[in-house]
Amino acid sequence: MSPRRRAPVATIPTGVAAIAIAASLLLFGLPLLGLVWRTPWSDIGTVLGDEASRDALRLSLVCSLTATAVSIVLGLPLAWLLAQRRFPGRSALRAITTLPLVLPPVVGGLALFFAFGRRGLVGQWLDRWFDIQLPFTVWAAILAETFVAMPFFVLTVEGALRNRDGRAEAAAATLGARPLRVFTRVTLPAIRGSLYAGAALTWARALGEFGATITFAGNFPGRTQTLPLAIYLAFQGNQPAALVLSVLMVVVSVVVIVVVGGRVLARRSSPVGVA
Amino acid sequence: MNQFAGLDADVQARRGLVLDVQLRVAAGERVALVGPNGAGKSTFVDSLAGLLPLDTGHVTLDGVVLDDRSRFTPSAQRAVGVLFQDLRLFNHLDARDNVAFGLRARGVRKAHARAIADDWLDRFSLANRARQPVTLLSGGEAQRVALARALAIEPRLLVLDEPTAALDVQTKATTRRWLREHLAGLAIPQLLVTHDPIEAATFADRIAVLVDGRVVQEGTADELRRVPRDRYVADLLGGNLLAGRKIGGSVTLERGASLLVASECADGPVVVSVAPQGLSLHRDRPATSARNAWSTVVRSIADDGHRVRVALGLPIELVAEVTPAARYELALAPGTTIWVSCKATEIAVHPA
Amino acid sequence: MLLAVALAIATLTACGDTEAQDDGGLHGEITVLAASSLSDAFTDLEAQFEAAHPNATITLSFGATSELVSQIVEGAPADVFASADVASMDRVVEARAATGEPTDLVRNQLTIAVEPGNPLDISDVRDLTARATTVVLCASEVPCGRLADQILSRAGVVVTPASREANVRAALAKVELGEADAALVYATDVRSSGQVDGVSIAEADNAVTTLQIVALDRSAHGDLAQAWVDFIASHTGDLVEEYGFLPL
Repeated sequence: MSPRRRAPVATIPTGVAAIAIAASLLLFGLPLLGLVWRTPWSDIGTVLGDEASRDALRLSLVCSLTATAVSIVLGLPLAWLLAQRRFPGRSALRAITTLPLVLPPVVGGLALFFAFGRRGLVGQWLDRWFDIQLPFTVWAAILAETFVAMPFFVLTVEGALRNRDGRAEAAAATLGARPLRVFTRVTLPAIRGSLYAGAALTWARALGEFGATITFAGNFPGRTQTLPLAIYLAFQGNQPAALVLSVLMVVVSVVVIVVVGGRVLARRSSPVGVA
Repeated sequence: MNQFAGLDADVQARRGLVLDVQLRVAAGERVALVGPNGAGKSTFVDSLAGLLPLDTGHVTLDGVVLDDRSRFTPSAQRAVGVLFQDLRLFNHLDARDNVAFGLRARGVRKAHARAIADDWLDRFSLANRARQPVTLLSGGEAQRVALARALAIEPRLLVLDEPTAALDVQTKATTRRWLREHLAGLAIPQLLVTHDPIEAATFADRIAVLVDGRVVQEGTADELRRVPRDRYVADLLGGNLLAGRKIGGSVTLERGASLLVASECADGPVVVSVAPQGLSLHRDRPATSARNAWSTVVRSIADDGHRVRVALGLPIELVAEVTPAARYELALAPGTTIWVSCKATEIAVHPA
Repeated sequence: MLLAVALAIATLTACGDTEAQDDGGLHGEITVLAASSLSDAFTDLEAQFEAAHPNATITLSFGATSELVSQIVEGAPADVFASADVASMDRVVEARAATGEPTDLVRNQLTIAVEPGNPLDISDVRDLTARATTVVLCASEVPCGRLADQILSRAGVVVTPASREANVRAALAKVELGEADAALVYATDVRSSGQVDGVSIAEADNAVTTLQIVALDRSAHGDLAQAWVDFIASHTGDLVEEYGFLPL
């Protein structure tokens, strides 16, 4: 019952460590440094004080958090289903779920038009019967972010579910718990590390989403212009503003990674589950 | 359909090996299913618990069919308490909520379920552990929590799956004694599944020996020891087991006789085991170096042509195994008076 | 193996070079960054140019003008830039990336792109204010957006667009997809699209943009770059007649 001890990790060869450090500094650290170097810090007050910037930040947070929530609510059943031993059509379902990971986001945005747009498969009926038009609304931004980000949650959680040996679940069943209860009371607590990790990845992806959003939701300050869109457009005109917004984006992302990711990584390194 | 009070199982399943087991356990009865690893014990447990549907056969509990060709009651609706070998406690819950889990699943309100759980923990001397995360419990404590969890749902059948396999020798003995104590008077069928013949013999009223998916023999420990119907049964359960108390270099047995032993085992209640091949039979008082020697009367003889099992009478009821040649040399027959000797080193002592 | 291939390529190149001797030295490869409204025209003219100068290779890269400017300012390896408006060209000149004064080519103006048949019967920018009409404009950061802002303010109407698209092609695509009822795009885009109808904007309201071209400072083939600039400047008549641009 005591926490399993991990075998001591073999010492990493110095050369390998050097490559690792050099790679991360050159590939990730240096561009970040470049961004900070070029940022006109004297403009920071003006740009952040601008209502459009604050709208973009607010929209980014609202849309990405909503997209994450939707991804959890819809992604959990999907991950559960995909983690089943086998059922007809599972590979097809997984392929569809994985597609947004591979698809260029712009293509995703176009595909969303063909489904939910005014002329889309479903959208035309929404328009005709309920007078609902999704494109160019905040809902479109959320839908686009969910489309692109949800696979991260589903695949992370599905992987965790697959790694379960089912023994604790069997014990719960003998105690009288039906499948839904077993899942919510035994399985989910046991994989909570992966749930956090999946949600964090999803949030991070949604926060940085650009292509599908600008295609399907368009770009309108205060309604669908999230930070990445604001940055992109600022680069077309006012570059200093773009740089300040980029730094803001980096700060928000770092907060996501450190606050959520750090906790998750700490949790994941200790064994989670039922001995 | 079948009004037998207790478990009536005819389990046929194909899971790598073909399992074909017929077994009845009456309410209040303790039966041990003993067999080597890979004999099909886990599959049998899964079938009873509703974790694995039968291919053919049936599982009936108190006259209610749980599984046959036409219906299958899922695990959650069976009321079969299982003490798993690996316990399978829920690590994210404390001891109390582990015990309360089954009650909560059955719709008992949280406060009430916890009160019942506390009662169980109290009964198992774990009251001060109720709020402990189960990961911080000792092996023995964790096992008591797991048993309390299985019993809290008031099962109609209790299955103990290798309950001491994961424990160290000293805890094994304490746990066996503790299990016997706390399960005495439990009016439901109790099935012990184990690979350990000593555990089977000390726990159960009746033993069924499972080899390669089939029960090869069934009976009391004494019956199996005296007339093993199979080489495996002879090897596994043919050993002589005697309860007694160890004081220094000797063990005083229940009927007052005593044996000299060579064991580092602590003084106190013990079980000694003597292999039938470890006993030597002689016509006259032996002049050997064996420390233990006494005379007795042959009660019965079982001879399958390859080996002869000789049941010996008082003062120590044991079974000895000799070759057919030795049988004629010694002119063994029921009622014959002979001498028995046994080296102290042939006697294994287990804490009980 | 690799060496053999390298030698073979070197040999081929050498043959090409000897033949290039008779063509007044115009050889090499240049990259032309051009506003996407010029894509049809430049693609056709490239074929003519290369037919006349068989040893010159022109690589065309089209994009939103403002995006191209950012690339040039950040040092993209390009030889010629053709801008959709003067403001964007000014940023290139300010960044000292141009070789001298840009050349005015032609002018362009916005038109209202509507769905085929003009189902909403839009005839004027004032019709774009109707709440039920989904309008997309270019973003204010890009030339066509600046032009749209000018037109709307000159007409004195306030339009709430569904979206301010990052470039004129994206704005046009929304009408082509049927997701928007109307978009303010270049007349040349409507002409080349074929999937939308154009509604002209009243002369009094309309504003025009001037397209410019310049050879870039960092070009390694300055003569070829300038030759392309001169070639285009001498074909503005084609741009007007065949592609719908306005004369200067």
